[in-house]
Amino acid sequence: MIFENLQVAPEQLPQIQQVQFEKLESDYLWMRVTSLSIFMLFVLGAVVVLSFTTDIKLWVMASVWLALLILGFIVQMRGFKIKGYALREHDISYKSGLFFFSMTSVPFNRIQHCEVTQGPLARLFDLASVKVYTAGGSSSDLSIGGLKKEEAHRLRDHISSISSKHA
Amino acid sequence: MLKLDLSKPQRQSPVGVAVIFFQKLRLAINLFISIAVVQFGFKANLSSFWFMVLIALVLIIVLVIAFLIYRKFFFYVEEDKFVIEKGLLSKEKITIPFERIQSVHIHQNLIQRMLSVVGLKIDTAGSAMKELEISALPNLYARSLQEFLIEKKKEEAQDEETHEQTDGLEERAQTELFSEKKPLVRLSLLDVIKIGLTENHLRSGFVLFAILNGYLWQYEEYLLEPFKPFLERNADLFLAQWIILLPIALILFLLISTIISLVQSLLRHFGLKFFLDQKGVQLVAGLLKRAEYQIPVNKIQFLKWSSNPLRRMIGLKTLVVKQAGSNEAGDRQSLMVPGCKEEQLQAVLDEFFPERAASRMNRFGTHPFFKTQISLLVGVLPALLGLVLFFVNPYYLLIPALWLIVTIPLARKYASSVQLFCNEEVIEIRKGWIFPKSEIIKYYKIQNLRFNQNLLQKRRGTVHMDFYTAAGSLRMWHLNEKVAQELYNYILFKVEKSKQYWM
Repeated sequence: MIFENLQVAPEQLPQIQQVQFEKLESDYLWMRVTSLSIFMLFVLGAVVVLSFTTDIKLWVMASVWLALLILGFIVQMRGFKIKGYALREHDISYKSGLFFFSMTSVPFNRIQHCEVTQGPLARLFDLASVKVYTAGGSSSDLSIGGLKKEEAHRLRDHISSISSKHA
Repeated sequence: MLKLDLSKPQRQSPVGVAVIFFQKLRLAINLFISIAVVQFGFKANLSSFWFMVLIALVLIIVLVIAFLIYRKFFFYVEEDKFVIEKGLLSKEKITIPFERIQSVHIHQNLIQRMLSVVGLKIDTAGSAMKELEISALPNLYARSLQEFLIEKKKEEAQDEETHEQTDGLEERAQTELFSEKKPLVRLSLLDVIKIGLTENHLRSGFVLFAILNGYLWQYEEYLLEPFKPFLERNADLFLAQWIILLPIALILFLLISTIISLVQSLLRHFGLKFFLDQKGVQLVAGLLKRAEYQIPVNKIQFLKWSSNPLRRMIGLKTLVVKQAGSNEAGDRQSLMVPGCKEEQLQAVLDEFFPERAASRMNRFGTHPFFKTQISLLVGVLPALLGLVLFFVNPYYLLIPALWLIVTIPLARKYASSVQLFCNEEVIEIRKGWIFPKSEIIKYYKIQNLRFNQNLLQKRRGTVHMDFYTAAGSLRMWHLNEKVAQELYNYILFKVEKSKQYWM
């Protein structure tokens, strides 16, 4: 037992570890893969230019490029399974990260404001993200990408309505 | 306190012209020097007639500008807003709703002190807001205005919600009460000198080096010119005698750093007085520029205290009170009390963190893996890089060897110094043994939590935990996973259950 003299026994507390996290839209994975592919295309262009201007063999660079591409895809696929959010009565949590796992939880009574954002690529896939801001500084803000647009708006409205009761 | 009539636009005190004049003159001089140096080099004849005319012209222009700035500067109250109007060419109107005011500071620089006026600065909730400063007000007037603004802000807050009704009353009494109270910490000249001498000299030395570097490169060409022949002639000599020169340079570096720390300490901490009561803390300090800070108790986010080997010998610590909104501005916005004795620190802790002593604090260290990781990072990795020296001279391999012998024990001891203490209400994180640092926070002041675990940590069952507050984040390294999970759940429970307002 870690905490002594508690009003509530630690094992009776709600456990975030046992919560079922909501998966993100599978379109989000395709969006990430698309964005990775676009980036890798630019890299490919740079590789081709380099092969003409330097002595490095094209096939060496091309195989490194291919290896990076495959690795990138694997990381995206595997990493996607880890991403997810959980809504509880009093807080919202988000987890992500294959190599560097992290989970952030924001209690509703600490939310400053909440908004829906949509990048150009996300618009193509009809996806949006929900951003939750706290007074804890920009590095601590919680951002849930890969929600259906109407779902994102519903989530935002839900969070705003609860957090406004606390303000 | 004065009765203020702010319905009509008010001007600041007429000596404001002088205050603004010196402010702008400093800007002009900075600009002028760089132009002059680049234009004429150091060969310019400073006593020539035209040069005098030029200086006179600059002075007159600055004076006229200062006068116009003074004439065009107004402040007044409009409904529930404080308004500042200014602007030489285009008129600028800045409105600050009372509810947005975070705090009101009064300060005094050398010029203001000579003219016996003070400056008043308003901090707002928006960080991107423009500078809101009134340069010259009579002391009593400024204090009345400060009190007026704080009271208005409280009224606004009470209109919206009814909680914390007594707060407005307490706040009003604050300014008067503090001046009659006996300070908890009062630094004599000797104390300030002691603090200056026990500063982290390496840091102030490097800061100076960085500043000089930034300043001097503009004039590098002109500064090095006279020494060039000497440097070229003696190039070989320097290389041969670096063994003698290095210690001399080191001593010189330390000496200059010490002097700088001493001067900084005098400028910043001279006549420091630190007050404490159940309403909050207040600090007054400074030689040329007397700064005054006030943090009401509910704005305090966390406390931080630190020391270093020299300070420990004379039994002094540095206390920093972190207030909401100071995370991006660094330590500048937070209140710093150097030269705190153990019992004075204890008094502050007892006042604001009575929970700390109320029940036993449980201690949690870091996983042994942290020792290995940090030794690899600061010991083995640089040593491996140092192996390159072998190609210069095989004897130089002694350097990486020595590095390993020195750094690994230091790193291991650092790893074991990182500890987390907690009970039902507060959490305290300690780090470091040469430069020990402790931070303490109440659970309900935490904004959000993060649980970080990379693949290496997952295998060993350890976690880095981040505790985000409105005054910056606290981090605990390599905490046991079970403990971290329990803490995570407990803190969320405490924050969500809490009805206390964190700010």
